[in-house]
Amino acid sequence: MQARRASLPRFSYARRRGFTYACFVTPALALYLLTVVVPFLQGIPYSLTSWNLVSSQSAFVGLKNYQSLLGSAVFWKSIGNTFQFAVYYILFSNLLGLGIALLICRSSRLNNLSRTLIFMPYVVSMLTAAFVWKYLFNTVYSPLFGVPSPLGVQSQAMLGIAAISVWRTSGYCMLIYIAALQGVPQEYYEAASVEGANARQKFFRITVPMIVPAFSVNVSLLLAWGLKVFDVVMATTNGGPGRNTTLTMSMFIYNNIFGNSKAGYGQAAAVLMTLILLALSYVVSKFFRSKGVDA
Amino acid sequence: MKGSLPKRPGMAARRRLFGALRIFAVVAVTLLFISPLYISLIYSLKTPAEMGTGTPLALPRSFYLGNFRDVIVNNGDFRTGFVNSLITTAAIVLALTVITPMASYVLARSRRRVYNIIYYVFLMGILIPFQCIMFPTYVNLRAVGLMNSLSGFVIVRTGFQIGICALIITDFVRTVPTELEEAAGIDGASLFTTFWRVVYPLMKPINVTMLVLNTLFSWNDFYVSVTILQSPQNRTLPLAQFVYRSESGVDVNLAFAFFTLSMLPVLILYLFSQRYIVGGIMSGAVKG
Repeated sequence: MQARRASLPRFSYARRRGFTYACFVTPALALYLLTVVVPFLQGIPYSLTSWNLVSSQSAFVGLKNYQSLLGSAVFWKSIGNTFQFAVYYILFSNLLGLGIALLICRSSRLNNLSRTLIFMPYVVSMLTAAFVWKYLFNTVYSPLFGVPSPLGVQSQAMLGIAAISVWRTSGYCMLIYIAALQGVPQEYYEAASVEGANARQKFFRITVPMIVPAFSVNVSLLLAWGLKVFDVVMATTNGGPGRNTTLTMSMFIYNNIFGNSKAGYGQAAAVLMTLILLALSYVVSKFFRSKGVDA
Repeated sequence: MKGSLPKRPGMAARRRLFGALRIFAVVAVTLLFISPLYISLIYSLKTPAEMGTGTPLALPRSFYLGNFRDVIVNNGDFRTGFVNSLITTAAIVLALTVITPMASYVLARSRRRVYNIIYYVFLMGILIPFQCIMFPTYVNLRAVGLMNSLSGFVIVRTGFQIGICALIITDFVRTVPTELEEAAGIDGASLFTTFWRVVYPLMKPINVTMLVLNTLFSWNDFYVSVTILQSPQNRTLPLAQFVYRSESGVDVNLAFAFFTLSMLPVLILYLFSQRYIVGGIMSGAVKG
């Protein structure tokens, strides 16, 4: 054995390396295939059945689930609510994140401390954040301003939910904007000052174009997170107040599969949700690519 | 920049005022952001009797630790949830820290087509929302008897996290020079030894970042655990908190003590490792 290994020709070293490589990839790949890829592929035929969670009986129904989903007012309502949330979420997280980043992008002891603290909510679980805010709305906000908690008012509930999520993610956006702002060469601003540019011109002509990659990261990331919104709604309004005012796509799917045990129907909604997610992510990345971002 | 500004009387005073305003704004925004966490803390340090008196934002008069004690000693759900969260988080993070760097190393180094394809399979997978594989996961776990088990949750949560971790680590390994590995290979070390003795230590910065972030994601997970862990004895902390969804008959101080205790481990982790978290996010890496 010893003698043979010493005289191994070159090709078998490459082969041994190939074998080691395969062994290195296998655990992660196998687990990933079993828990993500295979379930994803299974889900498509499931969505064509009338699977009932309780009795495990299922019959092939073709595209009937999809047909009834497209005719369901509740499903469309859940899509509309999710979009409404995503717009508030993306807009306010980015505005706040960029505003704060501009305020504290220079490193100083105070700025570094405030960065650490403003990012802190992101570390807290969405569920805990939602519970804390739900109680705060009732015990602090409501008595302080003499108004009811927004989570209990139909027209404000989605805004209240978005506020909780924005509180949690603004710090995240802020960090990405700070990284981008620190990458803008100071000479550009100096040159612009020499040319007599004012602060507004410097912001729109230098800063904004230079940090487009940060916009791209923050918008695509928050779009993906926002369209999946689930825990915060579950913890605060559970789809209410009233009928489905804050029901989101994820909740619609979860409720149908586990609550109403209409698993095939819920799975069809999940497939549609994935398509919406992919389509919108594609549009956003296409838009930013046209602005010269390579991501 | 200072030199290029024309010297006008009052300019220095104006700049001082601006500086003061800026500091005021920074402090105000920071306080606003941490106020919910501050309120959680002071609420859990107050007695129910103290709640009615004074403004809700006032510091507690005595640092009453009874709420914490009550949650830890008398709330079985909290203890079960805490232990389950600890076990599952440790298992998930450990598995990810071992198997993803191994795979990423190969994806970064090998030029064979099959590994290129695998890279793209990981990439496509991060676009799949969990909602889309939730029901098939339930069916599969039930078929193998892992529904409602901590190991079932660990397997699924680890698998769902692999794609993004593998991509981030692969990008990092591509920036690591190959000379050291080649030298080790010439010295006769096997690839296995080379990886664990030479490459893995070089990957430490990204591995630590991923370790911290994966700890956060596992500890805070709700959407995977709510699907898989449905019986009370298997609940993790986020699921145990779910009793507070209905506010009727809930002692607010005890609820906040519960919230504070569930946040505490990750907040401590964050304060000690924020360099890695902030670094990881600033490099644009994290898409959890």
